[in-house]
Amino acid sequence: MSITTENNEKMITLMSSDGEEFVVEEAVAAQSQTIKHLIEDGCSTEGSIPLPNVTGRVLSEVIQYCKKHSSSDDKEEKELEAWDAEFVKAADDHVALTDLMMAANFLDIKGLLDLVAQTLANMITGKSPEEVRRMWNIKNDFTPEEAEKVRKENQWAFE
Amino acid sequence: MDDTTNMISSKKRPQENDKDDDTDLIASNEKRQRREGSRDDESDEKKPTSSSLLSCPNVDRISDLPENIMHNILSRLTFLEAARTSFLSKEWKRTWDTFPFTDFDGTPFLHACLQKEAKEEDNSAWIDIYSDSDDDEDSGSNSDSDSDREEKAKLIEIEGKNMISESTKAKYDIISSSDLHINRPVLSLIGTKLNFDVGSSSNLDHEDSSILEKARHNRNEGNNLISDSSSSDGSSYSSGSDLDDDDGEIDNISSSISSSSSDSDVNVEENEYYYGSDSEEEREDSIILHTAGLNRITGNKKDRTEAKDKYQKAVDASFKKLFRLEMSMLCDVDIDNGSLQFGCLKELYLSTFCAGNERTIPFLINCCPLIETLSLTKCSYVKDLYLRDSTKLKRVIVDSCFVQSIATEAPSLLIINNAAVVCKISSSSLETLEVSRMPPYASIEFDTPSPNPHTFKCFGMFSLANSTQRIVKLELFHPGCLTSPSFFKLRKNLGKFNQAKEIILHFSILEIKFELEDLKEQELPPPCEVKHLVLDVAGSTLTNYETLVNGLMWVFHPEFISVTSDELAQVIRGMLENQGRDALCCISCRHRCWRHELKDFDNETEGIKISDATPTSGLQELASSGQSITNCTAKLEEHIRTPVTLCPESSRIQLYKVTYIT
Repeated sequence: MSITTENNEKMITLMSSDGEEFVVEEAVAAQSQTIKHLIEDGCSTEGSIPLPNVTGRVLSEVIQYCKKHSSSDDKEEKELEAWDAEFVKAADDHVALTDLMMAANFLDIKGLLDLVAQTLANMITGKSPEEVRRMWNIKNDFTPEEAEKVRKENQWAFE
Repeated sequence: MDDTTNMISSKKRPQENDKDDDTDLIASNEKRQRREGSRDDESDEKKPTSSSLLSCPNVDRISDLPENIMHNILSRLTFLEAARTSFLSKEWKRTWDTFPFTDFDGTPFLHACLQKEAKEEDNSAWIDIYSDSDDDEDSGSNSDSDSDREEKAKLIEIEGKNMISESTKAKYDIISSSDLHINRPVLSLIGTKLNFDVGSSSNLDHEDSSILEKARHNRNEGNNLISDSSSSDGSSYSSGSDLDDDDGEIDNISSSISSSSSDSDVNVEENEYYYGSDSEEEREDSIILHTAGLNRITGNKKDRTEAKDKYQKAVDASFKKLFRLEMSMLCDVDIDNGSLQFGCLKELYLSTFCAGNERTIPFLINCCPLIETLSLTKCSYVKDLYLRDSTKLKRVIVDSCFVQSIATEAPSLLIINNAAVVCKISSSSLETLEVSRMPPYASIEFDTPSPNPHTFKCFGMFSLANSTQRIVKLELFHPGCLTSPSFFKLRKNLGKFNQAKEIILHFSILEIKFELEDLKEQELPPPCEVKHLVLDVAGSTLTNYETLVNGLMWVFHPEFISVTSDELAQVIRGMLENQGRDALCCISCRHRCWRHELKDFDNETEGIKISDATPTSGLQELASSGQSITNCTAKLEEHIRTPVTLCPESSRIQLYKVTYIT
């Protein structure tokens, strides 16, 4: 649905998988390459843009990110970085970072994708495989023989 | 957060001082254990903060992330850390195995990481690695190992400081010890090289000559010891130092060089331990050199001595008989034009090839006049692949490379996985092209129309652009969202495939939308007039089949349609029966929809099981499509990693014959 606000900003409506609707400025939504293309392809001309694999909770985080990043310019880079760090920390409390990552990937928002990926990478850094498994509930599905084989293959990586 | 500094640095001991560079093994082992202990503590502290990552605490959701995301995460780790993730689970192992060694900004990931590590680490870090890897390998030769290590430690220290201005003998030792004993930790090997690379090019030359010298040396010995060449690790060299105990790498390579001149089959596997003769197999008329971690293939040196010349000739001679060459983790190939010839080489497999510049691989290929199979995996430097001079080339496989253009004369099979943004392919006689795992923004352009029939398999439907090829069979795999403009694009692009006889579509579409009105005043390309359209919607959550069929009929005008889903078949049948009655369908827009071009239809094979389908006249297509669908299932599963249940024994294929008003 295209509504034009008083200050001539074109608004569009995004609908999450659970039916929640978000009305945002087009410039904000267009931070997502996917949405940008959908708008260009004419998907937004009638009704809202459905985002079938993003839940409302995740989408609200994403929009929060996009809003911040569309309103800031380059001069505030330092400040933005700090904001990003705070944002991802806060987001971690509300939604699964994996979901945020999936959403960033689906919506193709490079900045957010980078931010979350870096956060996840930082979590791995400095941990032993066992610690990483525990942290993320990764099931070690190697048989002892396979584990040994992998260990031998990558001996150099396992100190 | 500064814990991005890599793992080695986190291992660094605070109490470490310069003395430690002499590396007392036992002490370092103890310290390592202690360090591990302390690391555990650290991360246990961190754990509570990161546990909120998962909204559902007992489910492993990180491993379910798509491969590209996982690769994104891996690319942010150091090489060592990324490699370690392979130990987490099978899924992570797979992720690591498919990880292209390229950073996203295009700089070779490996190179960048190692340089970073080389800069950040002091020498002891490298020594750590070395002595660690020794622990396993040296179990059989403990008596020598202490002196070895001492020697190595010293040598590596020299490397770490990037000083190679020692005597020839010393250099020789450096290279031999550091190169050789770490035959498995290929990374360390390359890391060593990169330490050198930081220095000037003249240092590199020294390094080369040292390798050469060592290899020559080994070779000479190898000739004498040909009967037990690969078990000659020990005291068989005239240098006689204990260091040679660990000679895995060069020893085998050079002995393979020497023995390949006597027509044996040398297969130096990446992960083999070089303490027995099991890395060598005798086979007639087939020479395979599988190298992992061979740093350089050196073809020519300006300042070579007579001895080197002699060695060079021997190497050349043995390379000339190579039949198949597999190289992985090769750091650099230094070939002066024409000096190196692989006269008999027919199969060349390169993987994780971080060769110095984009000319290296073309050079290498030019050295192989008879090459028939070329496989490039994770070769980050290959951008433009010009293969017109290799006239015998039959198969080209490009996987996880960012190739931008491929020009080739005569391969009959070309497979491209995970390719570049735009891939231009020019080939005069391509018969089969398989394209998969293309990023959504990628497209493939074809040049040179050809009189020959072609088969194309394309994962990601709109990857085809400006195609002028004649195609007999086109398989399209399309994930994602379909809109009116995308149907238009498809019709426009495929319109040029007007000889296409069979098109197979696999869908896993999220959203679909097709309205002719959306196309407004755009010039309408003619439909493709496909002979046989096979629709496979297995695994798709799509519900509005009608829109899909509407769009596809409009795009393809297929003569035969066959579908594997009963539901879809019903929809098609309903739509065909309803032809023309719904006259309002396109009255308001400029373009006519397919219904008005429909003349008649016939259900040819209602309810025929695939197994029952007899390959007679009209059904021949059906049988062959059943065949290809089965093939696709495997492909599809392989590439999108979701279980696909396509065409089980009981499933029915519905085949409709449709005629149009011309």
